[in-house]
Amino acid sequence: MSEVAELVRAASAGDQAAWNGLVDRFNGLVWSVARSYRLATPDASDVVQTTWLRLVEHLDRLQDPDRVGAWLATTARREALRALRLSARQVPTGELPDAGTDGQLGAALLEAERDRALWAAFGALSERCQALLRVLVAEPPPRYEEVAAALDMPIGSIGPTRARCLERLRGLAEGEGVTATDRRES
Amino acid sequence: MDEASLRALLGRVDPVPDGVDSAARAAFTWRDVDAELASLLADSAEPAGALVRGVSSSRQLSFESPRLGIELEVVATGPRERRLTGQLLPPASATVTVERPGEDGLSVQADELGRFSLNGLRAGVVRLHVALRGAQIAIPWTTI
Repeated sequence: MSEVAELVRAASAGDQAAWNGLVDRFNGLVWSVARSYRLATPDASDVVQTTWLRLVEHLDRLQDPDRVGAWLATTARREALRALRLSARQVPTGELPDAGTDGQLGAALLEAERDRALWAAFGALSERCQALLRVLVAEPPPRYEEVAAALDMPIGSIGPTRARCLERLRGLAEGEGVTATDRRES
Repeated sequence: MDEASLRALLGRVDPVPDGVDSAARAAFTWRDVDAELASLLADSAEPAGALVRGVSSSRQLSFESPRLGIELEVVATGPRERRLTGQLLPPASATVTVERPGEDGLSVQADELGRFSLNGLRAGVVRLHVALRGAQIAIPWTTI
């Protein structure tokens, strides 16, 4: 049995520590899914909470416990889409949720010129690229099958799209002042 | 400048908020193996039910369990305020409790026609619990 499937089994038997293990492994992914659909913090928080509460209800009936990450990503995607339809508080294209409104992106956080350039470049990407990269850089990094579930895209198109979006990000970042030297260093 | 830089940047500017993380951990305390879980049959906020994209002030949901059907209407009465009206089928008098993570439940009585109503609910994640002749029926967690 895989480590993840073992956590599901133990949580299903009532083990809070195992549950916490699932949260540690997947909450970054679930949060990134809500953000990839451009939900502001209150809606994104509701989506994440609903997703985990749904898993509590379904712990005993998961068909494939090893794929609980994909189950969570799918549930979060559906909840995020529902929240979007209901709230119409979608953030306009070109901004990440809350930029400048939540205080999360305060000047101190983006002091480094390099960060600022990268952030601007990311914001200039297409909506699709932003969504894909937002989920791909979740911490800890998700499996491709989880990314596919999060964005409802074929698993085979993730690699090529990822490469294209990163290439585009590099080009935009150079335009924003991230120099070739920076790139060689990273 | 690559995916690792972007991961590091987003980790700084958009981390999982502490409150969201602790709510995910606390979700486990809502494990309820005794209640019969109703399943969602229809939701007007689902893609199939929302052909016209836009904000409707009213949302209809239908749930079903082996012994009870539940029809719900959620009306936005303010930006983050909701009114919930419900109908139990077959009609039955029962205690309906609105549960929210981290809070005490709020109970109302469904009348003999199975109707109940709750005003001034804060938007957020809720679950309804119906106590019907000794049986416990839970309606899945829903964001209202």
